[in-house]
Amino acid sequence: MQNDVVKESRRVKLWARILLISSVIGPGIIAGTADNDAGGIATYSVAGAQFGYHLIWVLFAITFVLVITQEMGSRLGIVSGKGLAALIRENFPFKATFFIISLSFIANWANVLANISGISAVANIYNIPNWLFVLSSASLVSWLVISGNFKNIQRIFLTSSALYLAYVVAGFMSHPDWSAALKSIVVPSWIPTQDFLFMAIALIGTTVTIWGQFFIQSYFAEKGVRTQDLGLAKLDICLGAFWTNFVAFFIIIATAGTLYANGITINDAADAARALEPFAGSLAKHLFAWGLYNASMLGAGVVTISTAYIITEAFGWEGKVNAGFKESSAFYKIFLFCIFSTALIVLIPNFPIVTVLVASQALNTFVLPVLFFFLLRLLNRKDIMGQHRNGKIMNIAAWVSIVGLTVLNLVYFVYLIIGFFD
Amino acid sequence: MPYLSRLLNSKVSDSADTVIGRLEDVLIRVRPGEYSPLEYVVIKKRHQRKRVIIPYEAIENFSSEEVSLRTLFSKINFLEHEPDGFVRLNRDVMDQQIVDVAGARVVRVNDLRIGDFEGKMCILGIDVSFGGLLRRLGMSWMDFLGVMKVNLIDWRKAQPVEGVLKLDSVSKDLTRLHPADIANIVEDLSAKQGSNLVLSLDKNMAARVFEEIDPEIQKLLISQLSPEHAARISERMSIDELVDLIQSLPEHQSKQLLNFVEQDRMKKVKKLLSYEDDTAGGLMSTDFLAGLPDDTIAATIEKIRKLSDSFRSLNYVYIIDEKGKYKGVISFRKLLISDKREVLKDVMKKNIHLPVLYPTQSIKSVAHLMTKYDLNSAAVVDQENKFLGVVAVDDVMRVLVPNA
Repeated sequence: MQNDVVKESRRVKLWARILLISSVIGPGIIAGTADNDAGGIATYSVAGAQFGYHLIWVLFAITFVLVITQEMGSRLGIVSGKGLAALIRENFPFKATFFIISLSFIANWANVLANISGISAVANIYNIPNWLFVLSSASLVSWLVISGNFKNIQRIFLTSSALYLAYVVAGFMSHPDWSAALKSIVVPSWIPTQDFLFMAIALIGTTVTIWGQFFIQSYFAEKGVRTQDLGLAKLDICLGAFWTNFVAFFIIIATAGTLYANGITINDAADAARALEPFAGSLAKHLFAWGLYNASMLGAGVVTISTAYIITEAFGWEGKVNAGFKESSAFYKIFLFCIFSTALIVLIPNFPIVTVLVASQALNTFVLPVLFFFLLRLLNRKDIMGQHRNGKIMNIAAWVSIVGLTVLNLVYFVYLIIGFFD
Repeated sequence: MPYLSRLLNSKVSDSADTVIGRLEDVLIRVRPGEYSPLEYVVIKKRHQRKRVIIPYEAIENFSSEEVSLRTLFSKINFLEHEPDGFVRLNRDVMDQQIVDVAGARVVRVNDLRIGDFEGKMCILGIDVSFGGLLRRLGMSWMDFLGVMKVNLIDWRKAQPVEGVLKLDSVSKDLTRLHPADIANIVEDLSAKQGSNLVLSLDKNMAARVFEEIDPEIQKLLISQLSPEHAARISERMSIDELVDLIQSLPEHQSKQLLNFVEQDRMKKVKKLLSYEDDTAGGLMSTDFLAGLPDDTIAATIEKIRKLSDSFRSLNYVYIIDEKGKYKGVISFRKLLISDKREVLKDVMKKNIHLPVLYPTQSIKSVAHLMTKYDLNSAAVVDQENKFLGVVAVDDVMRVLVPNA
C-alpha cells in the first residue's frame, strides 16, 4: 500500500512542482510559451508566407482578447481557489458539465494530435524514420512526466522557453523591412479574399484556446496566489500575452521577408523550414526545424497534462490517494491515452490528418464561445466572486470579445463547410 | 432505496393527485457522526418562479416513481423563508468535494443514497462511483452487464470540504487520523482549501500535519497563509523541519517567518541553517532528551514523564556533561530494567564504544554507518566531541525516499 501512496501522491506533486517552476519564470510566460505550440507555429509561418506583413495587426488585436479572457480566468481561479472544470461541475447541471468537458476533451485531443504531427514533420525534414522519431519522442514526453524527475523537467522547461528565441533570431536573419513591419502592427490592412479571412481567424483560433483557458485558471488557483496579488497576476497575464505575440510577430516576419517576398507558398511549418534555406541560410532552416520540435514537445506535454487535469477534476478522480495504482491512475491513463493514440494515428500511412485538424479547429471555434459563456456566468456570481465580480466595463469588453469571436468563428465555419463540399 | 438524483426534478402531487410542481432540493442538518434525516423539501411550483419549502413529514411517498403529499396542498404549512443552519443537498452537497475520512482521501459526490434509518428517511451514503455519473446522465443502461461496482461512502464518515471553510471546525474522526493521512488530504485539496484545513486543526496537530506535507506543497501553502498563521504553525514544528522549510522558501518569505521565531529557538535555527542540506548537520534534529552523567535513573524517568509531551519521538536519553561533551547514551529499555538508584554514567553505553557522526558527513556515509551498526539514531558531535544533535533513521529515509 505504501507503494501506491508513493505513486499517487506524485500526481499532486507534479502539479505543485510545475507551478513552482513557473513561479521562477512567471506563470504568464509559461502559458504564453505553450500557446505557441506546433499548430500556432504552422499558422504563423503560413500567414507570413502567404500574406507578408498584412496580418500582423491581427496579432496586436489578439493580444487584447487574450489579456481579457485570461485575466478573467486568472481572477476566477485566484478568488475561488478552484479550477474551471471543478467550478463548472459544482455550479451547473451535471449534463451541462459532461457536455462541455467532453467537447473540450475532443478538442484538446486534436490539439495533441497537431503537436504530435509537428514532431512527425520534423522527422520528415531530417529524413529520420517517422515511427522511430514519433514513438521515441512520445515516450520521452511520457517518461518525463511520469517518472517525475522534476529537476530535469525544470531544466527542459527553462531551455524550451529560451529556445523560442530561435524564431527571433530567424526573424532577424531574414533581413526584414523594419519600418514596414512595425507600421503594420498598428495599421490594419485587409485583403478582401476568402483566404485572408480564413487565415485571420486561424490566427485567433490558435492563440485563444480551450485548453489555455482551463490551464491559466488552474494555474493561478492551485498556485495559491492570494487575492491581494490580483494586480501582479494581471501583470503576468499581460507579459505572457505579449510574449506569445512577440514570438508570433518574428515568425511572421521571418517567412514574410523570405517566402512571401519571393512568392513561395507553403502549407505547414515543415515546409517553411525547408523553404527558408535558400534565402536565409541553412542555420535558419535548423532554427525553424528545432523550434518546431521544441514547440511540439512542449505543446504535447502541456496540453496533455492540462487535459488530464480537466477530466480528473470534473469527474472527481483527482484525489484517490489510497486506492491502488490500477484504479486510481486516471490521470496517467488519460495522459498516456492522449499521447499514444495520437502518435499511432500520425503513423497511419495516408491518414487524412489535415482534415482531422481542420475539423478540430472547427470544434474549437464552436466550443470556445460556449466555454466563455460559462466563464462569464461564474464571474458574475456574487457568492463566488464577492467584490471581485466582473464590473460593467469588463462585462462589456468580454461580451464584445465573445460576440466578435463567435461571429468570426461562424463565418469561418461556413467557409469550412463550403470548402468541404467543393 | 432510492438515489437523490432519481428523485430530483420528479413531479410532486398532493393527495388529490394534483401536480404541484417539481422537487428541487432537500434540506438537512449536518451533525457529526449521524445519518442526517431529511427535514424539508424545496418544491418549484408549476408555471411559477416561486419555490415553496415544506416539512418532510407532509410527504407520504418519496420514491423515484412518485413523490406525493399526505394531504391537500392547501392544508400544508409551508415556510416563508429558508430556515437557518440547513444544508441544501442538491446545491451544497451534490457535485461538491468531500473528505472521505475512512479512506483519507478527497472525492467528489456523484450521488446520494437515501434510505430508512430508525424509522426516519436519512442520507445513508455518498456514491463516488462511475456508475453514479452514468445515473446522473440517465445512461445507467450502458452498464447492462452490471460490471460497475457501486462505491458508497458512509455518510457519517464524510466531511464536507466547503464545511471546513465555513464552519472552521473539523469532525473528530478527521482529527483522529494519523498526521500523515491528514497531510495526504491536504495535498489533495487546492492551496486555499488545504491551508484552511490546516488552520482548523489545533496548534500541535497543525504543526505535525504540516511537517508531513511534501516540501513543494508546503511552499504553496505558506504563500497562501498570512505571516501570523504561518508563525502559529511553525512555532510547534520541530526545529529541523522548520529549518528545512525556511531553507526552501524564497528570501522574503523566509525572513518573514524567521521574524516570528522565538528567541531561544532562534539560536538553534541559526546554527542548523549553517549546515548543508544533505549532510549529517543538515539532517540532524536538536529535539532530544539529555541527562547529566550523575543523574539517577529515577530522576531521569521522572524527567521523561514531565517532558514527553514536547517531543515527537523519544527512544534514547543522551548523556552530556556540564561542558556539553557527549558521554554516552541509554535506551528506554535499559532505563526500565536498571536499578532506579543507579546513576546514568554507570549504566549508559559509553561514547567510546559508539559510532558518531560529524556535521559535514554526507548523507550517503550517514546511511552507510547507520545500516552497518543497525542504529535507529546516531549522535552528531563536533571535533571536540561537543554534542550537536541527533540524526534519526526516519530523517535519512525521508531524504532517500522523498515521495512517500
